[in-house]
Amino acid sequence: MVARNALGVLRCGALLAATLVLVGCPFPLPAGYQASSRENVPAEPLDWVTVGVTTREDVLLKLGEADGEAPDGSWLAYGSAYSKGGVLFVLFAGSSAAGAGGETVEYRRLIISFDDRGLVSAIDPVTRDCWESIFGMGSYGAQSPPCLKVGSPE
Amino acid sequence: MGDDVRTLLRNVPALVLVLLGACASTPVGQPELLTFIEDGQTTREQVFLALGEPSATYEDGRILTFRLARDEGGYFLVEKASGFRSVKYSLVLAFDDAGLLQRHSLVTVKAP
Repeated sequence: MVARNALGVLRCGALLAATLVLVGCPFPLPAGYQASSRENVPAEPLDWVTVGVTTREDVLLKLGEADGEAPDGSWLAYGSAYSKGGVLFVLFAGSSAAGAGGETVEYRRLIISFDDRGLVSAIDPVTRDCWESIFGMGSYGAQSPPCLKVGSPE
Repeated sequence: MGDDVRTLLRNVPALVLVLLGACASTPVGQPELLTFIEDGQTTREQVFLALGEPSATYEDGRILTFRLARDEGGYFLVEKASGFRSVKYSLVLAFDDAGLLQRHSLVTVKAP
């Protein structure tokens, strides 16, 4: 019964999305960093970091406040989310509107680990491109969750 | 009719100025917010009194960070929220065991 209902919701969603794509007005979504993202996570290797020499203090002074920190201080996380652009199809009806679309987002994350003395012990850079869908109707809106958590190594 | 149009046209520049003035906002930045910060001189107490609660602390409070932005008036503090929305700079202050500022840096986290 539940599976049947879920299938029905999915069918309705797909039908609505298809309708929006076919009859909606396309609006390009510009490229750029997301509003809540920092912009200083380097893509290239951190040549100023030497494992066993660079301290937590050095890292903070260079990159600023971290997006996440281990409860025991054993790692700092730095992350950014950059939209490479996308498209949103909007259908206007009276005073309301509905829209569906998607964008490609590049997530970049650096996990910098420290030993007991506060010296860098490892650097783990991850970059991942995700296609994120966006859906909105009236005052309700939803976006698919990010494919990479930038504030922690999970 | 012609006079009305001429009067209206004469007032257009004033109207434009009023409309532009409505768009302008008063700067909230302070030109001297960070000028008291000096390595080897500034104490942790002075920092707390001038800047308030830090946005994050590290190494048991030895390292403090503050979130900042800047406008025509100078730097101003940005309240901590999820992510770095409206934040342009991260001020990092590292103290010694006596609570004296050892090193600091103003990191640009978003392009100006």
